[in-house]
Amino acid sequence: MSAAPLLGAGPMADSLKRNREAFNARFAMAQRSGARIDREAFMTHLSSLVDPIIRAIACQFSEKVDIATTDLYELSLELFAENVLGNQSREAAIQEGWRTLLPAVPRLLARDPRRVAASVTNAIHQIGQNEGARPHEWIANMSAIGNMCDDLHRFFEAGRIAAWIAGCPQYRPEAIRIARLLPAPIVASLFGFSDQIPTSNIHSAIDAITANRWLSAPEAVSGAKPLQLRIVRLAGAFRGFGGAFLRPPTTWTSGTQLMATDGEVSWFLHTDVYGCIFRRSQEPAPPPSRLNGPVKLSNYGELSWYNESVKLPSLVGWTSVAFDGQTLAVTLPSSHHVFLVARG
Amino acid sequence: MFGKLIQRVSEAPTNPQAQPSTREFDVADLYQGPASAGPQPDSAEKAPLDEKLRQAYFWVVNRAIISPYYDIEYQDGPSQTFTLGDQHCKLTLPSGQSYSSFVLLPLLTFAVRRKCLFVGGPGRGKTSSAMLMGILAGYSIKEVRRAIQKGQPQMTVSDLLGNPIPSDLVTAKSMDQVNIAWRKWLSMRVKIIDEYNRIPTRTQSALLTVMADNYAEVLDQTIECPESAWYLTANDDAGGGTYQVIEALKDRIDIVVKALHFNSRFIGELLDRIEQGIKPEEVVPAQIIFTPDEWDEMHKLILAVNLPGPLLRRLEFFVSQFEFCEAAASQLEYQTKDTIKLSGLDFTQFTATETGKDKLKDLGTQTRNGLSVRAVMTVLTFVKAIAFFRGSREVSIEDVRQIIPFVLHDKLIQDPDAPFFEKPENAAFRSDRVSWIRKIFDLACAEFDRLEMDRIDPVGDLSDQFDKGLDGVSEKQARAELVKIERLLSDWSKSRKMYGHLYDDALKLKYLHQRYTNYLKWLRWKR
Repeated sequence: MSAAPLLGAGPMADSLKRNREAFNARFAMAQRSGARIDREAFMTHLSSLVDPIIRAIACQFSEKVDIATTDLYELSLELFAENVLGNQSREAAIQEGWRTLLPAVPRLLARDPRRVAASVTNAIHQIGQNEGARPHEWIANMSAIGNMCDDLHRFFEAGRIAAWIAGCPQYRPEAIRIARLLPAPIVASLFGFSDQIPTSNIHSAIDAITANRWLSAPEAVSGAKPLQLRIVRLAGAFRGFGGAFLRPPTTWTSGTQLMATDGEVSWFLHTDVYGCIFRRSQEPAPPPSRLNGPVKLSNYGELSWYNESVKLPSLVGWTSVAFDGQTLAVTLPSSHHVFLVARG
Repeated sequence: MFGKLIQRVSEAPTNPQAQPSTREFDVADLYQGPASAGPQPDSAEKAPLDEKLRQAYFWVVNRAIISPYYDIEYQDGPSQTFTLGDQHCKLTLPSGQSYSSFVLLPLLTFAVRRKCLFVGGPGRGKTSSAMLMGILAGYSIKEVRRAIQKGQPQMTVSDLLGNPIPSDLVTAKSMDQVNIAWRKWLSMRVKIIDEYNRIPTRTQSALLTVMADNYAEVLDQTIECPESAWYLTANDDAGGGTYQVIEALKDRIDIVVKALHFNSRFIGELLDRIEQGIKPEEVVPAQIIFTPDEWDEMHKLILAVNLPGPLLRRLEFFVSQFEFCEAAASQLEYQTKDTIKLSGLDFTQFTATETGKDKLKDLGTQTRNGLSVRAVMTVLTFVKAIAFFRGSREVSIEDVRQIIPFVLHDKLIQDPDAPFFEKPENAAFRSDRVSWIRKIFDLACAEFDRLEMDRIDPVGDLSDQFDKGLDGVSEKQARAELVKIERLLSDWSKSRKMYGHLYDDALKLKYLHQRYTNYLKWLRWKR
């Protein structure tokens, strides 16, 4: 293995020198606890990822260098030991977060280095756990708004909106609630609006998004996109291909929550324009039932949606249908997908 | 899968007792995951205090103190036992989560703010353990080091408590004008006295005031000390220090912890620590440090742990075994070992008297004293503490069985000449007090079961009836209770030999009889 890049002179190098024995002891203790931390990889991490963060902090808050160095060093050891960082890591996005997001928020880091770095790491990890979610998008969004946040609370709240937009629809209700409370520039940046947009327009867009989960924020504010009944998403897949279902699923609603099961496991189905996730449920599937209401689907794929109707040939011979007020979920005997139909 | 590694704290739940229910979705989970964000003062979700206490235990035992002993054993089902050596010593592989007394008991002392004595040879980690407890209380390593009072033959009261301000001594016109520079350790919530048996007797008396009454006094000036956990160390608990420890000071110690020998199989770990410069006390994780509020809250929660009635009755039965000594006096109330002690006469003169009782069965013959109120209160506190530590809100009999030997270690004075110890299989109990006390607790429980006292307890029934109160009790009812008491005593006087538990029961009956008699007199006067 090639030698780790040398740590250049700077605030972190000075801090490491000042507390050399303590840092060495921490590394030794982590090794002693059974963790196999590659020394070279760890040194590379310190010089390439932690050093720029400490430099960014030192520019504005030189008095916080020692505490930040200690906190980030300890956290790094912890994450290396768990293979969250380092050569064995399967989560490249976390390194990306340390490389781009953390140096972009020196003011927040200076307040509580460990909490900010750990929370960012955890958030990237959590988002990465959702199939189809986009942690890099979260990092980019958060890097853009980091300096607009006066305090950690606001930063973390904004993180929930960013997580929703990055493909975690389970955060949608909370994110919409928070979006109404956060300062307009932060919300505008997260939703990709122009920074000149009036606050009233932002609120109108949020109302529109709330009313239709298949409308993205830019579409809501522009109002340009004509809405039409269509299959908006295919959710789930065969377990052998990394999906949730062992057998072709069936669907139903629990209250207003879409559910799906393959007969073995039941799932909550969270979905919207930004993404789709399945979350395990203990709820057993009820016997199949037909739709009673303003939305109906015939066995021949003819969909009647309030006053509108459309022919959807791919849904002929469906096995189960469920409607939650905005989205129709349909399953077929020959498919491991749940077909989601909506005006979008 | 994830947890902290350096300064790693065991992942919750450290003592899983029930299958956790399916976790509900919570948006807060976005920031939960591989990395610990450390303590968050504004976070509503904190680990329960019992979990935090267990995490502290596991951190100390896994990372800080090399104590590979699991002498506090719990079983979760069948466990394997092996017999080793000529003495047929049993090695049990516990099936439940078991603990090292050397780490657990100081931690429980910390939780209930009591006084713990570490005994054992030099260099066995006694002082280090005490220092870790100081750090768990939120003090820095420097503060803890500076606050340790190191016993030595020249230690004066001023060394221990503080000095008068020199300028005040010159200018003051009365004693109350002399200000005292109190030593900082007095105001700390963890107090450490190293080698307390090397402190001169006069200074020990000053220490006693602080330990017993929580205040210190110098030149008529006093300082109140906060509720604290105390850790004392002694290289030899049998009075082998430079000075004999005064009896009252010894009596203030709640629990005794033995520093066991160093297991030679762990020298490699020592080598690692030397080579790598590891000092665990310098890297105590923030998650296991208790704030003063948490400490207070934990104490309240421990006191709220339930001690079930049937278990309390069993404990009463055990405690009742030791004080009674029939030969000590002619009046029942004074038939105690304390009477002999106060008389100054030789204890063996009295125990040699033949009473016709089975001296092997009578547990009272094994001790030279009974249990003080303080000792019983300490038992009650610590059994609640260990139940809390294990995540239970109710004390179990195993909790009592495991704690009693350490609390009574210096409280129950063994009579090594008792016939019980003459039997070859019991000879080792003369030196191994922990196992001895556990053994007599087991024997007491066996006797309790044999007498079916869980089911047949006429004194308990009478006591329960009385506890309902005398308000509204008619003369007829009161008389009926008196008759019951008299009949019971009459039955006992016919056939049964007197043992410790019967002695306490007889006195309880006398007490109840007197209360009903007085009540009857009052009823008659009222008419």
